[in-house]
Amino acid sequence: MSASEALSRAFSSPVSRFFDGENADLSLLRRGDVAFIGMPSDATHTSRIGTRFGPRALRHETSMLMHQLRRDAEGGLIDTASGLACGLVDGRALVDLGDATIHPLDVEKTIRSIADMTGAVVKTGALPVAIGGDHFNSYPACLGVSEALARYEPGARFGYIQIDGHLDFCDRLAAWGPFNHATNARRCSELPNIRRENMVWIGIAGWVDGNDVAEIEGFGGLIFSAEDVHRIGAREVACRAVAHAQRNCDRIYLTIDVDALDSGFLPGTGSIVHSEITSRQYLDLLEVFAEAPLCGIDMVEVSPPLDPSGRSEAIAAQLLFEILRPRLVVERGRRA
Amino acid sequence: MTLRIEPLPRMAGHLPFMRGRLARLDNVGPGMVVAFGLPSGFNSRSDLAPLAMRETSAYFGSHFNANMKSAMDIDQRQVLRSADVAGSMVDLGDLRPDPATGTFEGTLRRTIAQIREKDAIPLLLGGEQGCLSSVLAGLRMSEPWSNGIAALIISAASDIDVLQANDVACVVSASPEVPGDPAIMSLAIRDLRQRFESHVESILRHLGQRPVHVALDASAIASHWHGASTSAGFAGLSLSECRRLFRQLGVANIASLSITGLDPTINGLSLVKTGQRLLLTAILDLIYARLGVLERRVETPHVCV
Repeated sequence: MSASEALSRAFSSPVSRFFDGENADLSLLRRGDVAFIGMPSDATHTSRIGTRFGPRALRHETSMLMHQLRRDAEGGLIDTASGLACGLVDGRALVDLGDATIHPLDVEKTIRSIADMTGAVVKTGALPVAIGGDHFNSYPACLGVSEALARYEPGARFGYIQIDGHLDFCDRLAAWGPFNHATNARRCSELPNIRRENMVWIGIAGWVDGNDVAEIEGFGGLIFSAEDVHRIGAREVACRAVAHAQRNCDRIYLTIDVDALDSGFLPGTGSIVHSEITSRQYLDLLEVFAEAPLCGIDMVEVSPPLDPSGRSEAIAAQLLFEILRPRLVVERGRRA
Repeated sequence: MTLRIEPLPRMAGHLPFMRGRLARLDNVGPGMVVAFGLPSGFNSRSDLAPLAMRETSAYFGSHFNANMKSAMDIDQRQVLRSADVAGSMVDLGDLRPDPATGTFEGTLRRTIAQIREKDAIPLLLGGEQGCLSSVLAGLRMSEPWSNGIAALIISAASDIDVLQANDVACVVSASPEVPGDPAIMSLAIRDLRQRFESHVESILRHLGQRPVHVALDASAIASHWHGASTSAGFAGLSLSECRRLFRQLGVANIASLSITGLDPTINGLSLVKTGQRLLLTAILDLIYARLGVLERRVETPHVCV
C-alpha cells in the first residue's frame, strides 16, 4: 500500500454509504452486485414515527462496521464462533444507489418510486437490499422485484419470509386505508407471482387478529411465533422456513423487521414487542437465510429518534451484516 | 391518492385503561376489573406511571379496536372473548390525596375496600411498593371473615412488614430474605425457575382460600428486559416466566392487583415505553384468567412440518 493510499484511508467520506460501498448509478451494476436503496419514509406508520431516519443511521453504522472490519482484516479476521480465519471478499461490488424519492402526501407515487428502483436492480442481476423506513415500504420493494421477475423471467415464482413481531396482514386500517405498516404482508400476498402458500412469518408475538392467522394458515402459510422460536430453536425454525418458502420455486424474498427483536435489546422501533428474542437468536435466523436463494431483501423499522442510546441502529447494522455475510466475508480455513 | 382517507382513530388524549369505560364507584358491579391510578412517587417518578400505563394500554384495547376482529395470543394460541372484556373493564381515574393529610393512604384504603365490597377487582396502577400496607388494609376492611388475607409480592425488595394475624404472604424475589415468620413464604426466582410447577403448587397451597392481593413491582423483572425501574437487577424474572406464573395463578382467589415501581422517565424520557408495555403484557394474563375470557387453544399446523 502506498503512503498516499494509506493516508487516504484515514479520511472517511463526508456522506456515509451502506457498508462503505460505492456511490453509483444503475448503469454500473453487474450481476452478483449488492445494491442498496434507501426508503426514508415513515408516512405510512400509524403511531410512533422516526424510521425515515433509518437509512441515514444505517449508512453510518454499516460504514463504521466496515471501517472496523477493514482495519481488523489487516491483521487477519477470525470468526470467533467458528474459529475460522476469514478475509473480506475482493471484487464483489457493494453499491449504494441512494434513496428512492419519497412523496409523503402521495403513497401511490412513493410505491412507484421504490418499486421502480428495486425492479431496475433485479433487471441487472444484482441483489436489491432496500432499507426503510416503516414496514409498509417493504411492499413496494417486493413489488418491484415481483414486476421485474414477471417481465424478465415470466413463469418464475417466489416464496416469502417475514421476520417480524407482527403479521402486518390487515387488509386496511380504518383511518389509513390499504397502504400502511399493518398491511404490507397482505399486499405482498396479492402479487401475481408470489407463492402465497410459501409465505412464512417468524417472531410474531403477543396479541394478533385471529382471523388473519386463520386466513394465512388456510392458504398454507406458516407462522412461527416468538414462542416457537424459543421452543423449536432459531436455526431449526429458519431451516423449516426456508424449506417451506422454497417449495416449487427457487427464489425467496426476505423482509427483516427489526421489531421482532425484544424491545429490551432494541427499543428504537415504532411498534415494540416483548418477544424475548435475543440478538443472538436473530443472528442465528439470518445466518441460515444468508445461504438461501434470496431475490430481494429489505430491512425496516429502525427508528433512531426512539433510542437515544444509539444501540438500535448498531444492532440493526450487525443484523444486516449477517444476512450479507457470505457476500462480504470469505472463509480461509482453520487458523494454524 | 391522499394518505389518510378517513378520520384518525381516537388515540390521543386521556385514554382510560385498556380503552375501558370511565366510571364512578357507583357504577362498579360484580366481577369487574376496576383500574385506578396512584400518581405517587417519593423515590422515583412513578407518579407518572398511571399515565404511561394507560397510554400503552390502549394497544391492548382490542375489545374496542374495530381493526381487530378476533384477538388471539399467538404465543399461547388462545383466543380472547373480546365482548366479555369490554363490559368488564372500567377506569375510575387517578386517586387524589386526602385533603386533610395530603397523603394517599386513607383514600387508597377506602377505595380498595369499596371496590371489594362491590365484589369487583381493584387494579392499582402506579405508585411505589410502599403503598402495599394501605392496599392490604383496604382489603382487610372489606373481608370481614377471620381467616385473614393473602399477598403475593413479586419484587426485588423482599422485606415485608404489613401482615396481621391470620394473614399470609408469598414473596417471589431474586434474593429473598429468610423469613422468621412462618406466615411468609419466600421463594427465590432461581428456585422457581428450576421447579416451576411444584413451586407454583406450593404458592397456591400457602395462599389457600384467602382473598389474594397480587403485587407486581417493576423491579421484579430483570433489567435487561426493560430499564424502567430505579432498582436495577439482572437476576429477575423474564416476561414469559411472569406470564406463566400469572396464568397458573388464575385459579387462586385473586381479589386485587397492583403494578408499582415503574418510572417511565428512565429509558430516554419516555421515548421508549418498554417498561410499561412489559408490565401490562404480564398482568394481562392474570386479568384475562380472572375474568375467564380466554377460549381454547387453537393448534398450530407447523408442528407437523
